[in-house]
Amino acid sequence: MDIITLENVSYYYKTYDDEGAAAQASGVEGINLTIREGAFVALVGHNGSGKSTLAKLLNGLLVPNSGTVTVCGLDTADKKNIFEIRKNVGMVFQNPDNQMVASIVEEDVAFGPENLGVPQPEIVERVYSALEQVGMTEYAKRSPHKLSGGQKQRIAIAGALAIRPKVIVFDESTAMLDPQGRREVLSVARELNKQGMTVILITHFMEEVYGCDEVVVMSGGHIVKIGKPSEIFADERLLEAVGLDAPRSVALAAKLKSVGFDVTENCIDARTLGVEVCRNLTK
Amino acid sequence: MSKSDKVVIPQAVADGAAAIVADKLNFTYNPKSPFSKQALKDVTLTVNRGEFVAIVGHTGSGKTTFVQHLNALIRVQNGGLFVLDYNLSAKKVDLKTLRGRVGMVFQYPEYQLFADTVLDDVCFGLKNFGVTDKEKREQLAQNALELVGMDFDKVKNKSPFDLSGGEKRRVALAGVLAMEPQILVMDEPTAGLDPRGKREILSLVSSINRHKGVTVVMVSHDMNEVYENADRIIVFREGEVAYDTTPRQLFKKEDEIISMNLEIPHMAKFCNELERQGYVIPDDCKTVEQVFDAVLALKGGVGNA
Repeated sequence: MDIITLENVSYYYKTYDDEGAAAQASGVEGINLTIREGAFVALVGHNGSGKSTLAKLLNGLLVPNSGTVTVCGLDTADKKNIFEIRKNVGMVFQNPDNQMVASIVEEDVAFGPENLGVPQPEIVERVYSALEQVGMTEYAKRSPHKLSGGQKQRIAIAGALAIRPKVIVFDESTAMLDPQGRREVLSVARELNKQGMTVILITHFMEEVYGCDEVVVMSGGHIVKIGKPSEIFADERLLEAVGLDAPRSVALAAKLKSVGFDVTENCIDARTLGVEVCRNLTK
Repeated sequence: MSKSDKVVIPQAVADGAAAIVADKLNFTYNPKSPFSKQALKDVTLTVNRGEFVAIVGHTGSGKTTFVQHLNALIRVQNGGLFVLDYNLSAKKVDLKTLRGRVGMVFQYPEYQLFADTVLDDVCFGLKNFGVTDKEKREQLAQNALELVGMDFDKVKNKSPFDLSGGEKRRVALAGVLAMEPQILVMDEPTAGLDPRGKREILSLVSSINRHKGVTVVMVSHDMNEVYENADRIIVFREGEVAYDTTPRQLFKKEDEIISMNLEIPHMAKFCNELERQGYVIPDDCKTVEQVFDAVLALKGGVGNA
């Protein structure tokens, strides 16, 4: 079943030139995309490619200038639907420090359901099950400000989960984290997906894309390619054109294959590639 | 060594060979309080002039505390620290000239842009560091902006806030480079940039290092970029220097690196596997292209035998 559908969607940001006259700068243009329920979709592109604009269109933070965005059968352009849509699509943003609203972790996570008017006993239940899902139960009574970046992002994820959404959008949620924080957030994202959540991961770390069902590549406000990670990694010309890099071991594997080495394409693990190359050398 | 002790100037500093010499540098945050935390323990290291050194380590390992000592943002509490010919353990340090010669680029430097135009922003530091002549300032700013690959005439009157993320970062870097520092200290200069932005910044820094002889100290979490760019890597662990060696040597210690929660660069992992199986890979072989060429050479060698 399709949970999100974008039909010919365009969104333009208003900008002003030096004289103060309004000019239109494009955010995204002519986007057609459907996202299946339960899918793990990565959205990649360079800075300014329109991927964050697209993310904000998914829960009605932005409403398209033309075209329609349908979430769980509801049109985001209809103001009546906005609450229902935001209940269904949770978002986690880039900067962990900007997403904390309370001084105690459990209160922070409770912020969403409180605003939805969820009865008190159920709030408690939701907060604790959300904290458990991100592995942060023991931090419930702590102050979020003293946590690491990865832990803060997990709290932000718990905050989104407490609303019980069907879809969760990670808008470059790993960009400001150290490698460990990144691993923490990614493993939570993968785990949620396994439990049936639809996950949309926006990133420019190509290594994070590995293992997704589908990769959507954006450039200049357009979708330039949709495919499996292996198809995207293999398209060196495309990656070069949109300013992205295949993981280094994948790039090396592709080069070796092109000169006749018998190696697995899209080999993300450099050691495995090493083993394969040794086998080729002793042949 | 307390501050009043007689100072022995290290030989490398006296010769002008070393850019930075730290000798048993210690630092404790909130000393003599219940919240005291020792961030640096007996840090001893040397950075030679013209070198490109990377500092890596897990979050909280003391990297940032260390680099903040280098232009006296944090004053030496205990131990010796020489930067160029400044003795930073001394009571009085000429901070103004020091900070002109040791350029510091912080994390997310684009958040520190503030002026109405790009030109004003780049000139701000120069003004503070005593370049009083407006024309001279603008000339230096132009040089710096061109050095970071910006079209001077196109951007000089633009608001820095109208630039893209990568461009903003380059303008912030230009603000530091305009002072023509001898040492460039950068705290995660590529964090948050897309791959193209990362490549641009790194090749820029490498070229400033190679062609202008500027000593570079770069803190980074990205082991792949550190591996490919640094002459030497210093690993901090719980406030101490755990390793101080070349990229290739460092990442041969895979288990130790992983136990410190750091990653092994792809190309290092690949070369390690080949070496485990008895192949010899040249020491300067670090990028995908270099490794590819090395494998081809091995293949050729095997074919001839």
